[in-house]
Amino acid sequence: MADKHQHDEVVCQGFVELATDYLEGALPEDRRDLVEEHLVVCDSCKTYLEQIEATVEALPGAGRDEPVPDDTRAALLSAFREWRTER
Amino acid sequence: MNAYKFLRPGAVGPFSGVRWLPGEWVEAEALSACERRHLPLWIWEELWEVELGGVVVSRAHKLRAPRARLGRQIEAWTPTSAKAFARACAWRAALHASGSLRDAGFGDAAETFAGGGDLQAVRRLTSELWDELPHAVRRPIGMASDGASDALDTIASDDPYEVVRGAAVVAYTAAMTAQHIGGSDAHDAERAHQADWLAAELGLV
Repeated sequence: MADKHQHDEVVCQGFVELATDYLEGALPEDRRDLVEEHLVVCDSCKTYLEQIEATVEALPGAGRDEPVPDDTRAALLSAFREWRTER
Repeated sequence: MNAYKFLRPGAVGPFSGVRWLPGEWVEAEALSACERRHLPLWIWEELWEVELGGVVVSRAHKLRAPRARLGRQIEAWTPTSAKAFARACAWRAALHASGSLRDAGFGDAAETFAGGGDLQAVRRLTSELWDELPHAVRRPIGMASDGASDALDTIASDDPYEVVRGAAVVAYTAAMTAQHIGGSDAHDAERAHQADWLAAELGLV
């Protein structure tokens, strides 16, 4: 009903752009404070951040523990080449 | 200067994930805490007094220092007081929006919004009047209604995390409603009012 979230959306859009830098500790202190202030009141961005964290943690392990089978690799490469050709 | 720190259960930093040990000095490049006036911005489940050491710098809504240690936990900050804070903030949002209702010719509804009685009534009246409201006044009234809904959800919750998150959100809504009506000065005044409410209710010096 209300459009208070118009304000939130602007803040959330800005947050999405800052999320990776925030996780890497690359933000200046004042920007980091703004991100954390926003996270106190925004569950959506908190969840988004947790998902990125989980993805970053999971990816290196997945690469080491589960090598891509040769036939899967070939199928993926073939699909990718076809996609590039179609473009 | 009195400094405070909101933490997750077990004295865990909400962003660092580091567990603080009461009374034990911690050293780092920039440890954060906040002044009483900024408490409404940083709400989590536990509230602690914190002693800062070294050069203390005030930046925006935080204090930074190279040394810090937890003092006493503010035991008065509980889910019950967080719910009371959410309710008080929802009524502040409704109060800020009441002038818009009055200006639009809905005097009786404005009295209800300004009255501090039943939050359900704020939500119900907003729903009933919505189609009749001029577009120019819908926003603050809708925000007040959202604040009432969030506060009612907060008050009904048994989950401590949902309670403190709800309290923080309703406080934010009240501040943004004030800002919509009166600009950034009104926003800051609302946040100051919230900080004073917390200090009085929690017995902070």
